[in-house]
Amino acid sequence: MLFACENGISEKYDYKIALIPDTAGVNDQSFSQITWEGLQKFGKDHENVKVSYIESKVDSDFLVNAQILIDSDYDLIIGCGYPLKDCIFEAASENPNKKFVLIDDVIDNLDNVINATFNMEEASYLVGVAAAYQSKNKNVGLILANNSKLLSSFGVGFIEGVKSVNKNIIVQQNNINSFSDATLAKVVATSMITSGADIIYTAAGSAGPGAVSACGENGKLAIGVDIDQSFIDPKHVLTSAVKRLDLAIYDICEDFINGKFVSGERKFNLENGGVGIVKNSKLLSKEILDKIEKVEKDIKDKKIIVHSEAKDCPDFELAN
Amino acid sequence: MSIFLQIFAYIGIIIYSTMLYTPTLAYAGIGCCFSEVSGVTNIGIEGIMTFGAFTGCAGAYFTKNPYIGLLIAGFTGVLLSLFHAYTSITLNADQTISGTALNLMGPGLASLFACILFGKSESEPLTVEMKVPRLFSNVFDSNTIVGNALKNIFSHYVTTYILLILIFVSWFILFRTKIGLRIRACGENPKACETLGINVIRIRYICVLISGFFAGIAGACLTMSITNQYRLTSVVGQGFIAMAAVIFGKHKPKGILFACLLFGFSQGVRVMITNGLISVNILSMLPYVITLIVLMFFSGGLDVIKSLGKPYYRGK
Repeated sequence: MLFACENGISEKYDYKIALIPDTAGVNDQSFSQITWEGLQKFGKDHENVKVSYIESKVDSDFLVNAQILIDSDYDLIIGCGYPLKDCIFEAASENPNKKFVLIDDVIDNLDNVINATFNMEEASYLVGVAAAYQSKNKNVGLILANNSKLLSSFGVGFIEGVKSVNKNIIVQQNNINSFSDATLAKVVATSMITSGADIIYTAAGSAGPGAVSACGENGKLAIGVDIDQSFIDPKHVLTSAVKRLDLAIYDICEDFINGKFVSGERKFNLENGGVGIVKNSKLLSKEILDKIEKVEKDIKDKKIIVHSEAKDCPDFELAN
Repeated sequence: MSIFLQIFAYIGIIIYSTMLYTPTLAYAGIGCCFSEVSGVTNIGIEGIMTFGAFTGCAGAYFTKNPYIGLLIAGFTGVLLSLFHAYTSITLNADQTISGTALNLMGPGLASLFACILFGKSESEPLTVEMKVPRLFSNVFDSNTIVGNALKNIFSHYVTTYILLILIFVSWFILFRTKIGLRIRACGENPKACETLGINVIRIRYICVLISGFFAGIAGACLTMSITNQYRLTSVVGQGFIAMAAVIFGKHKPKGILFACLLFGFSQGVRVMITNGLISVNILSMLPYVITLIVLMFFSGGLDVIKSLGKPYYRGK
């Protein structure tokens, strides 16, 4: 357990907001880190708000840490990621006077919890379009960590995006059933490349860099996820489908201190800037970028409806 | 695409998978083997690997040389295993507890140094020049299926080729030299060794340090060849799979190599048969099940090192 940003003893703050990241901590270069950056920015912009975080070493520390925050009079407690679901649920039902935010999962029927969810199928649709235009072999790959509802939405969006450009493009799929086995992701990516894929989209947490590495070694392109992953291999990461957790958390906190706390699911999508595609990549040509922007506009205007579940899409199936 | 071409491509992938999984497991396995035949259990392999995964990556990043990175990974592994050697050999502490301490310490130290050196819990990604080089990778044309398959079969990392030499060398040392005989004797009957004038303490120390060296390199294989960056989740259980390989391989380098190859091979098969018909949960189990079944049939009973895990009290 670790408390950060305890500056001064004087309690001159009107609001106290804290983040509980998952066990990877706030420096995980992905998920929690961006959330914490967003929260820090919020703290800087609002002098009467104190922001802080508390890290957990194992899952069983989550609830203990939540209790510590509740006892220290925090007004808003943010659980970052689906591993926090049980913790937020218990803490929220026992402390109805406190407010909570759960990112990436949904708790129903509690009027002191906001569920922040991200329409990643929309971002995935856009990278799918990018992949379809960029692919020379008309053959792309999709690697998912599992077949949960959350991960399926990445896959469905991507395939829909690819097929919207050209129905005949082959999408090779594989579900590696792991968020951490980079070796397996690398073998799978290599096998896809051997069968002709030249662009691979991987949504598999820490296993992802394995696939990026396989693309790099074979001179193919990879598409990153969650954050701009071009730092892993700038020459071989075409673009990334990003989740703007920093913006999301900023918005939620802003509403909270303005007294506009509305419980229930709060969706972040292309329209409100909560998800998106990385556009500043040198590998994306101007021509393709224009096409992506057009599609982006169509999704925002609801001219294109992106599905999140495979059962809504009769044209293709998602590998299990 | 003709059916033969397809089969050829499949074979390529399976061999690639085998050669990608094997080095990490086998380096750790060989290290573990040295420690165990001398009579010291080292279940801290996983922790040392995690630390080596970080130090190797950081070393290569700052020196811009993968070979120096590998050596740094090896020697930091030695430092960490020195702790294990001191507590379990000199202080006669429980070896399982000391090994567990290493497993907790490795990731902790790696995170600590990552925060000091990089300001975050990961390392910076390595560029191609800093990574362990992949030999013959430009020989084949990766735009054709045949070229890709040939590349998958013949082009591997330097560490993979070094491993094959290492397996032979360790077999030779352990089973064909006087020193090897002494090491094995220390694991069987340290008291008898001492009466013959063999320094049991020294031999055990050396063997535990060797195990640390190779475990460090095993970790570095993950972050310097398979990916290019240390993360908290770089090493997740490979150390324990390696320990299982040592037991199934009956503490013989050849056997360990076979067990590791089999595991990588089964992972390749699993990738090949992912077709939506079989549940992915069953498929993920497959490599472990295949390895277990094959080794049950071929290993025929496990060997026992008589003094393994028992503290040795000099002169008692």
